[in-house]
Amino acid sequence: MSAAPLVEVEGLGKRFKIYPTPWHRALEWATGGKATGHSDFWALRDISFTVPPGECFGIIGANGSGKSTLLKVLSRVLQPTEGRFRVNAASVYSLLELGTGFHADLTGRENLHQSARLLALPAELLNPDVVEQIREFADIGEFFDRPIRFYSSGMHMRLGFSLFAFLKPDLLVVDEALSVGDILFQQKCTARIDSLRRGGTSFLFVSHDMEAVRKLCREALVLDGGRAAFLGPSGEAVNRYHSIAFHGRPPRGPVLHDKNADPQAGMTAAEVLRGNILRPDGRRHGSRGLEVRAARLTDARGRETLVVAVRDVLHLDLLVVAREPVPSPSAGLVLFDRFGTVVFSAGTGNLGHRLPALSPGESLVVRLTVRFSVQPGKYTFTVGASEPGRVHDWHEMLGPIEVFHEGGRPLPFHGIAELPMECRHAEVERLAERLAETRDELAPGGRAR
Amino acid sequence: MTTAPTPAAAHQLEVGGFFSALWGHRHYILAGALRELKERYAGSAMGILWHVVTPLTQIAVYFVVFSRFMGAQGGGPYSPQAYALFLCAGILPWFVFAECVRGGTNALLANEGYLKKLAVPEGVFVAQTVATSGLTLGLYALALMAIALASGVSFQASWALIPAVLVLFLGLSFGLALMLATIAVFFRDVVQIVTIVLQFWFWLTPIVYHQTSLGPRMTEVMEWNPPTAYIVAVRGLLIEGTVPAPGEWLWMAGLALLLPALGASILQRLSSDLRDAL
Repeated sequence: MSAAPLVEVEGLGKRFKIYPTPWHRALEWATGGKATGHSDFWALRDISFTVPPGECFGIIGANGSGKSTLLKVLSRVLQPTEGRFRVNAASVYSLLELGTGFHADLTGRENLHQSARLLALPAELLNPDVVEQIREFADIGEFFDRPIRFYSSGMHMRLGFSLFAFLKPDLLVVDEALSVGDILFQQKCTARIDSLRRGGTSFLFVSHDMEAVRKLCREALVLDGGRAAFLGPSGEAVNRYHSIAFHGRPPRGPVLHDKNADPQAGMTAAEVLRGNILRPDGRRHGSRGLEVRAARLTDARGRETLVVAVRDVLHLDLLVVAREPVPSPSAGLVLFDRFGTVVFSAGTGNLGHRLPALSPGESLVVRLTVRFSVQPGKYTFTVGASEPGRVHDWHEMLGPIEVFHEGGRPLPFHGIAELPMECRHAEVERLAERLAETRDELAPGGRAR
Repeated sequence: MTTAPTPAAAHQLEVGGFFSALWGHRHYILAGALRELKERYAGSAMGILWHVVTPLTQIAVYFVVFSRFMGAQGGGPYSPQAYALFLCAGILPWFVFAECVRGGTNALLANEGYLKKLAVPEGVFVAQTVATSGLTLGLYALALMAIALASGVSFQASWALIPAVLVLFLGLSFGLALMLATIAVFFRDVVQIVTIVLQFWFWLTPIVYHQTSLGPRMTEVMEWNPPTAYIVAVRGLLIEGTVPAPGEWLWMAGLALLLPALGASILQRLSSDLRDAL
């Protein structure tokens, strides 16, 4: 293969200058750079690789490993500090942030025109025929001609991807663009990318979806802390990535303070591990990108127990550990009665509770507090961690939890479970008289209906 | 084939390249300017009229204060009517200049979202602000001619040169905006400072009074004050029908070319750090 490489990157590095205050920069400018007021942060260092024409090249790494910086440099958003790169392509487009150029007051159609001008896309993109194709591809119905302030985020992304779907560039830089919208649209995007690939378009492809990288790319670069940890066949790269991610390398930089975190007593990894009820030989399935390492049940007073009175609460603490980047984790449980009927199933996602995104090696204790408003009896349960559309780790057939009712008092309800019910009543009236009056009123003119 | 500039060569990217990149985005700049203008007044009952009414109110205030209470007539032998026209011919271009500089200074910061993600040249966003102001200026030029006719000045051939002066004035504004926008990315206080400086600048420019009316010292200061030349030229062309002397044209054109070139080269020099600082 003697063809000139499409992308050549040689010793590329990107340094960010961190100034504590603007005065430090002012001082540096004033002294012509003699007094340095900044500290350096190298987001990328010594990156070299080549991509032959027509290939799909993967770039993988944990959050903060420099992937986005690399793509921004290659897309000419940022300038490199050292090294050089060459892109031997006439047309290069970046799907860095789908829909970045969109303006909320313009309709989808107007935004296509606007973005085409902003990104200096070829004029034929705006031929009525092509626009019609884009409209069909986006498949957002009459919303196409409505201002995009009325769009859901999914529609926004659909339009963003569709804008690029009918371009035939030499090189397309794709950053996680395949996680657009619902599964049907994702399949459509994947098919589109396949057809572009067959048409000779090369790809620089950044993804957390290791399966996609393995499938689409021949070679991949693994970034770790801004440096190349591995460069080679994509299958091996994915393995290398997992081993870096999994080998408990301490997360770089401080774990950010999560202002939504609201821990109660006992919600620490150590305590959950100590009271763990998960069995090593238990039934378990899922891809384990986000693992449920331990689970513990405590009552309202913090005592570990599997027994609870009707209408009392149990806290279910789950210790989840990310083994790969998990942008939108969720944890939940399913409760089964002795017939195997699902009595209740819900998770953080159902409750609209957003858990923070997790990077490899990060763990989180999630507490699900459940009021057992169910019939007395034995219940098994399943706990699990998942992401929308993906099962990470489910532990099944746990328990049983025994729900009891103290003798001597009537049950507060009968049936499988208590539904929220309210009672109220009005004042006492003489029913017979009122009814007679009503009848008289209605009879003569037949006014009733 | 495209090659990334090595760091050493980064600021050698020529000023010419900067302007050709702007030219490549001319459709976006113009469409954005039109949209911005439409948006500003969409949903208000009088729409684009506000563009004229707001400055006219201010003109009315200055007119009353200066011609009635202070007895000054712009320092010149003007009738009240002529003073009103004199005032309009100064304030309307100044308004656009001030808007350009204030808006332009903020242009890069306001479009942070684009700059951080898209490889669109920085100058595009400054140019768009100036283009929006330019459209307003066109509107004002028409208003000025209407006011002139209404106040008894008859149509003159010299009016044809007014657009030329205004275009040069926009060039100056663009250059200033470009420099300030670049610096504002690194020192955000510049946005506030510019607003304050413009207040003083207004009074250092012969807008409500004639350039000679504050004594010889101030006359000289005003002569070197860049906006002065353009405002004096517009007034002369509009009211007296005097065409600026060749030296005046040279000065105006020189500034209109020099400042954008200077702005572009400052931008190029700092561009390697610019988006990192956003």
